[in-house]
Amino acid sequence: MNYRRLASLVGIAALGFSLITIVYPGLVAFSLGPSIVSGIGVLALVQALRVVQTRRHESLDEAATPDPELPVGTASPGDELETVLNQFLGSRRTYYHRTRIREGLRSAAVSVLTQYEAYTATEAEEAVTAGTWTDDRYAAAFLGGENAPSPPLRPRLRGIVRREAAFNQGVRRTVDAIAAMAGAASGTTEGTVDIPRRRDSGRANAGADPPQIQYTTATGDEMAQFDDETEAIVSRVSHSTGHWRGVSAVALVGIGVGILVEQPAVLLAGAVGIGFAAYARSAVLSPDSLPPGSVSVSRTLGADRPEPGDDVEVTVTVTNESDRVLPDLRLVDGVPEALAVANGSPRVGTALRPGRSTTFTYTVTARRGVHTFGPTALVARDLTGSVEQERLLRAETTLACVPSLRPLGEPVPLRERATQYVGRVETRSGGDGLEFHATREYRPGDPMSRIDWNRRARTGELTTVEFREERAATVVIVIDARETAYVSPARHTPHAVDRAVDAAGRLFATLSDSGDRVGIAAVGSEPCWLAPGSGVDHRVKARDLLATHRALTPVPTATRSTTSRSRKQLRKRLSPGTQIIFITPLCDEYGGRFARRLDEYGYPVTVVAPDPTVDRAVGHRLSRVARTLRLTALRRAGIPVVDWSWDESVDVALARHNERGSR
Amino acid sequence: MNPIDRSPSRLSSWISASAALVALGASGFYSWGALVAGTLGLLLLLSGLVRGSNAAVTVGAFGLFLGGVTAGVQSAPTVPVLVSVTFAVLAWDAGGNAISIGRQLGREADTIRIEVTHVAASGLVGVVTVGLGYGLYRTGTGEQPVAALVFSVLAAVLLIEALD
Repeated sequence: MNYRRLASLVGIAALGFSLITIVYPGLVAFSLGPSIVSGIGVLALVQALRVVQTRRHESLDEAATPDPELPVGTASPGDELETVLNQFLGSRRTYYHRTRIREGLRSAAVSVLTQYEAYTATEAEEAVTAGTWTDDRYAAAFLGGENAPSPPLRPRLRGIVRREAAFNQGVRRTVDAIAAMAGAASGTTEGTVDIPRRRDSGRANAGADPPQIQYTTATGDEMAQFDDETEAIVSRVSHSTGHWRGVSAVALVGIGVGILVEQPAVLLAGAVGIGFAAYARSAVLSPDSLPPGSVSVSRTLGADRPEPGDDVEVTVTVTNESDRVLPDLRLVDGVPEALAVANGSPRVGTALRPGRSTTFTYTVTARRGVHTFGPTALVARDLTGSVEQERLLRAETTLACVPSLRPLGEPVPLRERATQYVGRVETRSGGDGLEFHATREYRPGDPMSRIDWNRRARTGELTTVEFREERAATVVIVIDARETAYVSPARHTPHAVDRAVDAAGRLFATLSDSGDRVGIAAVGSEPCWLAPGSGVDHRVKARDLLATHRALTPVPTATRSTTSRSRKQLRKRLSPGTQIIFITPLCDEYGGRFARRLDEYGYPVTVVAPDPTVDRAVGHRLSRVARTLRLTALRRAGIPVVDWSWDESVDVALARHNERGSR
Repeated sequence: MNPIDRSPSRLSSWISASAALVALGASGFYSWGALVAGTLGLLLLLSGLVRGSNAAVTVGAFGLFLGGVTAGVQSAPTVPVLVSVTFAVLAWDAGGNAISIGRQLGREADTIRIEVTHVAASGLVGVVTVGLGYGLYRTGTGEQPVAALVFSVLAAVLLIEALD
């Protein structure tokens, strides 16, 4: 600071001297030798070098804007090989990375062998150790003991040179062999092996996308930062961007070289540099110059209650409320984190005179749920671009998308067990109904229409025909909405919870159309319960719950699911004999356990399992094997499972299931 | 659903490239050194605009500026030297702005207003400084003692230093 003050004092003095010499040339008696002149030139060049060095070593300090265009992505099951392996390992844990992989694959192979190949557990262990479980020599050698077949010679030699590659190949061949046995193979042995070096956790961190800057100011606690009064919060006060840093090098080089070579043209070039340097320092964007409320944002939506998949136009108006020109405003609108921008850009760069406003539009694709637009991020710069300030402007808009409930074309496969209400579950007991059940001896009081008159004519006996009684079922549709159920085949496609909610809506409509009493529950981050009921009001409630309940948000919430508590709560609420339709992707142990537990407690469970597995990489394939195993285990336990593959509709999946069930 | 295209904004990139071409054209005819330094600078600047690299744009513009100075050292007339240096600075400014707009707002967004405002302001500064400097140079030749010039230059160096 002192050095600066000294430099400026001496500089002003020198300027004064030069003016004096211009006005009174005679006053300055001493003459300046050429060495002094050269000295000044060299000084200027040394300074220029310093300026250049500063520019080189300091990076620009510009605001990073959020990426609201893309919705929060979801991972695919098996993105992390280790997570899948841990499912096979259970409580066993080994420290070494490679041992863990080998052990995990070993237990996977054993489980598959015992499930599908009629081995007992010990036989399977022996077969894996001996390497006789598969024809693939690589896989056999990878998991096998000392006596297992060895892989061909050439790759073995290659393996000596590149151990990593050999190990990865072993992993890939083994997983393929296991998948082939489980019937979950795709037939390709290609695919990438991306064995993670360290264990990453967290939601949706797979995929090659750059980390998104999330700003979930729309909901949650951050909103509290906005007081009732303030329209904006300053997220970063004025700071230098460094855009013009180093421009004084132009002035210093020009002056230095100009003096040394005595060329007026070069000296004047230095003067150009002085001009720009002075311009860069004229930046005036102190915190006071952009008072709160000087920029306002308002937003209008093109549609009030869109259906999912509709494009909704969003029009944003930016107004300069201050009394000065705002030459450089860069805005990024707070698109809700679940919505994707379909068209246009939610960003704009504009310059506004006092009182003027500008609008920009973009379209978002509507998706089930209530979506609140977050605050608009503003980066305001001065004219020169060397100072900027960041803030968040408040503009709340809500887009509600409540899909209507459409019934299915297929009957819902319910299990035999029902309530006393008339409905569509066909029971084993005789009574009123449509389908023939049995004949019995006539008892006084039986209606005339039920007497088997043909038989009476033939034999003279009086008999009564009974039909299968049809009773209403009480059904609770349980949606698996735990954090781990937010999985999808690709990062930005609808995920398993979306599918589950959609299917739940259709099942609900179908069941309530046929007179069953239907309720809805979810296992997840928040308690979600709609007691079984019927009627129009109930239907509306169900529709709203499915669309807007916080437990079923279209983006995974960060809070951890309290699953054991929600199961206990659910059990307390269920009346005896209630049927459960549990919709879960079955991508971890929990889903199967939940279904079995409820079934054991006496609630007939049917599982509808959307299949989000893919076979891009080894982990994905193994995850598919694990899911198939779970499915088989459930079916063996007597729980019907509707395996709903990703590219078909729930109608098709149910139709296939019904057909198989009737045969 | 594609990721945001964060490459430098189009208009400012074009302005930057054109300014760089003018800077090279003004100085390149007067000396081989200027031609070489300017061409290298231009290529580097263009690559920086394509890749969105601020360092490349800065070094490229500096090359163009050195080209202008080289031409001046080898006795090029005053006007081309001034034009070359000014346009080198403008190319640098517009290029840096293009990259920053690209990073913050992406290519899809409508950013014409801030780009035009920014370039117009910088261009005006360039015109005014060159005009003032050249005007002083034309009116004040020969009359003043060397001491006045030396003192004013010293004052300029020190004041720049103090402001930096």
